[in-house]
Amino acid sequence: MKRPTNKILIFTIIILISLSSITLIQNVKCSTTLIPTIGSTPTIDGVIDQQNNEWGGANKNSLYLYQNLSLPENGLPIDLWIMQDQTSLFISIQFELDPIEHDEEFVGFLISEDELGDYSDARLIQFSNMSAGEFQYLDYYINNSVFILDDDSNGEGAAGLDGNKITYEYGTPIEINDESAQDVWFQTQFTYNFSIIFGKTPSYPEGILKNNILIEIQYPIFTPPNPPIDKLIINMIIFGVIGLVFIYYVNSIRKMRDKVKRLRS
Amino acid sequence: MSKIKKENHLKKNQVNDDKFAFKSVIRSTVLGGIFFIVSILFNGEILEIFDTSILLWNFIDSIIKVVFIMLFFIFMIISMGNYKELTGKPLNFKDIILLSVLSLIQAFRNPIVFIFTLAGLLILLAYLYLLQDN
Repeated sequence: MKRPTNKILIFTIIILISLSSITLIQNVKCSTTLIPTIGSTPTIDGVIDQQNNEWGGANKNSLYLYQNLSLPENGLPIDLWIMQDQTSLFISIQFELDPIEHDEEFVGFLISEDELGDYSDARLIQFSNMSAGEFQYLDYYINNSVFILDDDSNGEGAAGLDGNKITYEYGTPIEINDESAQDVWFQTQFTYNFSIIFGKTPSYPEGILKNNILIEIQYPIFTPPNPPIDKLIINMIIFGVIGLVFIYYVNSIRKMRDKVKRLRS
Repeated sequence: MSKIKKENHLKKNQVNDDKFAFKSVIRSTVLGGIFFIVSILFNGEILEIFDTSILLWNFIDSIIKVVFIMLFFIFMIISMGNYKELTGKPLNFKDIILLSVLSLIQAFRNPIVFIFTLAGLLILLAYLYLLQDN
């Protein structure tokens, strides 16, 4: 009687240890290769319009931002969407945070021209007053870890706060050679190292949580996406058909009632 | 009791039964209609129950959607069963399939809701079949 109990106990422990190991591996993981999907151009306004399926064609990834990669348990969970159209790369970051504690929060990404992580470009959205929704999109180049503002800001960015949910949206052009060499030139079939950064005070590069992500740009394999069929039209067709059957049934009940009345009289 | 009195009594009982069945048809149809409208709002994603990425809330959201479709199906099958009884015909397989399809396509937007609804309908139909058998 004892043996099967012991076996079950050992088996359960082995399963639990295996499951814990998987979780640990996932938590320690700091670099992911992501390939942007091709989708319809989103509006960079800090709002993900779910009614119009904005960002619907994008890959959604759940990641953590870590202050210290050796202590992964302090990670900040984020949702990351990556997408591109014919001319631009789009990135959206969304997470839940208490806005009162982070009035001067910034979120952005550092870009390296290679896979090694020698960052030379930075795109940030810096809040000056999150409660009032005041922010600025900033384009820096990095020289010996010093952040210097670009002469010409490239790309666009916007952020929006909805309750406790913060959405950051970025758009940056692909295949444009920046002659001033202050921006990373995104070329096709190359892999770039992106490091997502997060901070609470407008000082760079100090005090940032980060997570390294490799993003591979797939351009120019571009096929224009099919125009999305309006959600309302599909709803009207599907529920309209059911509604019509329902009306037909109600009508047949009414007819039957009249018939019964006639028979009784 | 005389033969005429007995016939009148039986006739009166029959009329009462019909009235009850008819009232049941109306009530079930009205309830089915209400649940259909609620199902349009939630399953058509006109109203969002929980706008979050938390798995537990998403699961509850799906369950609520499934429940409204199932309630639509249950009340409509009661209504149709009574309606058929009044017309003197049994509820046939075609009617059940049609109602199941109409219930199932309400979940077309969400594959999880679709799978749960399909499972729920199969369980319910199996239960009704076994109940009929007994």
